Amino acid sequence: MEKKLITLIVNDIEYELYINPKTLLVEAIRDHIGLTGTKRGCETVSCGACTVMIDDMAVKSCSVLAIQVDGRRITTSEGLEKNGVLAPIQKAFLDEGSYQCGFCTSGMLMSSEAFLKETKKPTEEQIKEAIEGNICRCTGYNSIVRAIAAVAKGKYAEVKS
Amino acid sequence: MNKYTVINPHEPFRVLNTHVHNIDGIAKVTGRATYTFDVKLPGMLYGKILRSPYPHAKIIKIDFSKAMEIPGVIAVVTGKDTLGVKQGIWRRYKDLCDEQILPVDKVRYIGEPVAAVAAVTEEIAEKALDYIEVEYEELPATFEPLDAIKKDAPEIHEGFERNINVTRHIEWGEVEEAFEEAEYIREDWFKCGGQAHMCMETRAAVSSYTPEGKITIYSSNQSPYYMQGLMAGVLGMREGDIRVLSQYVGGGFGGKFELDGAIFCSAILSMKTFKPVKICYTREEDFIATKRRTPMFYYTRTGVKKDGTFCAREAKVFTNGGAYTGMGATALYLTGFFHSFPYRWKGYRYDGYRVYTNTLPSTSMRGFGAPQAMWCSEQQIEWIAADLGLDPIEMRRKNSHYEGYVVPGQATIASCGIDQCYDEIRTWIKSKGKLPKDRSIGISACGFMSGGIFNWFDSPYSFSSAVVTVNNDGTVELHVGAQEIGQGSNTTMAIICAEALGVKVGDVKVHSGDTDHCPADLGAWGSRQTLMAGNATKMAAEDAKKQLLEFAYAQSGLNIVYDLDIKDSWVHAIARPERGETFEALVKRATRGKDGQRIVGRGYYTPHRKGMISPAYSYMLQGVEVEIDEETGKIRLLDSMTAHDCGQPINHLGLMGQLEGAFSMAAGYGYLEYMPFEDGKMMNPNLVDYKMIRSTEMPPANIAEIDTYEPEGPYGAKEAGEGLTNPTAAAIGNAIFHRFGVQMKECPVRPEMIVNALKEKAEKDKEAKKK
Amino acid sequence: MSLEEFYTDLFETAMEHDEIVLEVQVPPAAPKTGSAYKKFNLIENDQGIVAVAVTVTADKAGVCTDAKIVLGNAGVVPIRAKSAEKVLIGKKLTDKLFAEAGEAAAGDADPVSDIHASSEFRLHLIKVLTKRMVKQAWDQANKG
Repeated sequence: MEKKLITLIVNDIEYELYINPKTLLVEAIRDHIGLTGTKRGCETVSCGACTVMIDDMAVKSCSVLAIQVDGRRITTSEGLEKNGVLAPIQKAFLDEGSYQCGFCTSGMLMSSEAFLKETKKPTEEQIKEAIEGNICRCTGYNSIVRAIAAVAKGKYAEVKS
Repeated sequence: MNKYTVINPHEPFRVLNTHVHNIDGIAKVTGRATYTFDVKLPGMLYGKILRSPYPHAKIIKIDFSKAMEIPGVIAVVTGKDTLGVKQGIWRRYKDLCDEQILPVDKVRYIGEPVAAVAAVTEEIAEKALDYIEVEYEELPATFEPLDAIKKDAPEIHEGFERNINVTRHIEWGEVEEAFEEAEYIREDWFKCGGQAHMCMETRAAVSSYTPEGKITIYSSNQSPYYMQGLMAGVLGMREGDIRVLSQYVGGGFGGKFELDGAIFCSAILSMKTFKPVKICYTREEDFIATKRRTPMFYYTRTGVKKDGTFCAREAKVFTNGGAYTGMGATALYLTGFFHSFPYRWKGYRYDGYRVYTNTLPSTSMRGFGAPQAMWCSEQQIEWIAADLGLDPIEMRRKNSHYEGYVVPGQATIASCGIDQCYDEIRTWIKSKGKLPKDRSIGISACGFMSGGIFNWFDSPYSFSSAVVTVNNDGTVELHVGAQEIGQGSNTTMAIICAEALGVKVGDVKVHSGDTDHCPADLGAWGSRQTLMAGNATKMAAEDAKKQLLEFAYAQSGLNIVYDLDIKDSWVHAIARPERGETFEALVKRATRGKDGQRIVGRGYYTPHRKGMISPAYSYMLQGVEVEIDEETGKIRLLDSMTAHDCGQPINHLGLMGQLEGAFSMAAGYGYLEYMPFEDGKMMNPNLVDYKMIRSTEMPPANIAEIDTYEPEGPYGAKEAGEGLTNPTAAAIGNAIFHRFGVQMKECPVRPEMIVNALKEKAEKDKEAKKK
Repeated sequence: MSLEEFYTDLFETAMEHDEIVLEVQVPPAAPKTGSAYKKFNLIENDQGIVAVAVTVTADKAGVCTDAKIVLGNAGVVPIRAKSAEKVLIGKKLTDKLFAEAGEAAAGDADPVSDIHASSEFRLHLIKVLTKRMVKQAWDQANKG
């Protein structure tokens, strides 16, 4: 199969890739661009460890071909911090201990971030549903839900001087 | 959302049990943490494993010439490329070292590796598997322990009559006499399922063998020291010529401290190619070819007095060992021991039989045989209480362990908070008031070990060691062999070091996961690290502190009755804390005093004369509120409370995380993670059909932490995190019993089983009415 | 063609290789119509083990004039449970009839057995879900 030239804007940086059209977005991010924060935990689009944001939408990157998002803006866990300052959701994860082994964490953060952009005053029920597509074997989820709730309540809002 | 209270908190510590961020946090929440799964080395090849489609067969011939012709395929290895060493983690017992991993003569389970390919890309390696021709001679196979022990069953391992791999016997008191004292006796059979570890990071390894005759292995594992020792045995190399490195580890849960196909085949391939070779299991491989929780058949007979005093218990257990021993021998022993917990028995007898079958080998998994033991024991005890019309909490309480109790010939209980646990759960149940009609509460007690006293690995080293090195600027290097697998071990050790030395957690840098730089440690399993590595760390930090204070005492000119201490990086006389100097100032003087050498403290710990199992035991009582749809049998967990005694809590965030995580895994064992096999084949090796608890299924996990003091543990600490995996399945079973009066003998319990049980009960009641 | 004719076999439809679905026509619901749908799964939002969809229409006298009951994952294609529908049409619906419809729907179904549920259990669930969904749809129809 003939390779194709595409551009992915990942974490505000433009990457030009020359790849086999079969390449999944998760493979493009991990193997071609070299950002290994995004993980893979299954082959059946079940676990969510590969979740990234495409524009502001949480997407399992193992379910999308890289060529399908040619020219789109993609955010991975490496792109949440700005100039070394952690995003509110990252700070919340630290405070609540919302990770243990950390393998699901990148995907979990992206699902959380996409949800927080979309829903302003979420109920606990809504928060749980937002991360339902992400499996965590270590935490039992409640600490993650607490972190998202804290951000939604404004605990980490920047104080505007 | 969750409630956490501490009952009888001890003296305030500076660092211990405060809200400390996990020290690996920033790496993990920013995508910087790299795992073996992410490792890429220059010139690295990708490996794939060809697996047996048969449960039992002789390997007649393997022809991989066609595979070698494919462009990009660099090497293929089979059992013939290995030393053929039968290895096992129970190194002291050679007959239990029965697994070659790449077998030479025959395969014993579907999915067992038979060959491995190294190629330039993963895709080419995968393709090459189809071109390896294996000639098998199929052999009759046996899949269930109760079939495998029959006289005419096929022999799986030479010399193991009736396929009985290991037996274990535990006994104390006069059992027959004790049964005669009993006024009520109940016997029941149970069936406990297996469970997959389902670590988010599948098995992964990158091995790199070089012309120096040394090998570096990146491996996702729970014990770099065990990996190093075991690989030395199978490769015929010295331990010192093997470096095992763990990056961050994506979960272990008991499945990653033995050798597996990833580490073994990548090493063999690297030795053949002299190039780094990476093998990462797919999720399907991780399901079908990594060892699982041990399925068990339990028979238990219990005798009590009419007032509920426990007299005697005898249990016989057959475990489905699968094709190899693994850690199954320990699971066999511990299930029998914890089946007695947390109660006093006048007479107790356990006989366990681990049986080889042609299925996926079974091994340790969080709880180590205790979740199975509690599924049976705690439900039967509930049924006995109901049969006798006794309060189930009070019946348990009057028979429980207490501080100072000696389990005859087995263990001395030096700390025990179970009594307060009963009070806490009763309060919680009361607070719920009258439950809506679809809901019920079930409880389960249990206890667990804080590391084992066993050395079946035959290590010549202390079980745990630590080295504390103090830099001139007051920062501290802590080298431990304790392994961070997500449970927060690095943070716990940093907390203990900071508390003992008197500095801030942020000043301590933890080094772990590298056999080249870290001391040997048995690793993260059996809930041993907080107690054992914690003790080693505390000792090392106190050693460094003592050396530093020598210089402070020399300078201070203090009267002999006064003591110096270090707290919050402030060196001071305890009686006059406002007078002192900074830690950094003292360190600079001490370093100069030692000719420019850094202060180094050493610590180590090995349990001595601590009974047959463990130096210390955690205790807990858990209540779970369950809603069951009577017509469909669908189960929903609504709420839970665990009253928990882990001695002195060390890592607050870590403890909460362990409770909630253990609960989700234990609940999965109770009602979701069904893992059926048909003729040796796993029927649901994927995350669509293997059901995992998701965020929407998880109830609140409230905790009442009973603070006790364990003399053997650092600052009085005991284990937390594995014991918490033990009670939940039984608690769910007891909730079902209280709602419907049906007794569920098999776990995981599924809706269909509840509906069938209700049908059966309705028919029985009908028959009874007719009479 | 009607949706019933469209589904021909497991994973197969009446659409030819060179055809494409252009539109799906959903007729407007008659007044006093209610519908309900439920699938049974082991955990929330998981794949369904069986599913039941019901639409019922009532007249001013409270008699059921139309009922459509479709069973999902109860056979190789979605199944119209016509015997269940017959139980309901022309009658004033009661709890007894809801249960009868459930029994009849199970008679129309031919579910498989797999590791998640045996065919017997699936039939049992069809009885229960049909009964519940007919009641739910009926209550909804009579409110409107």
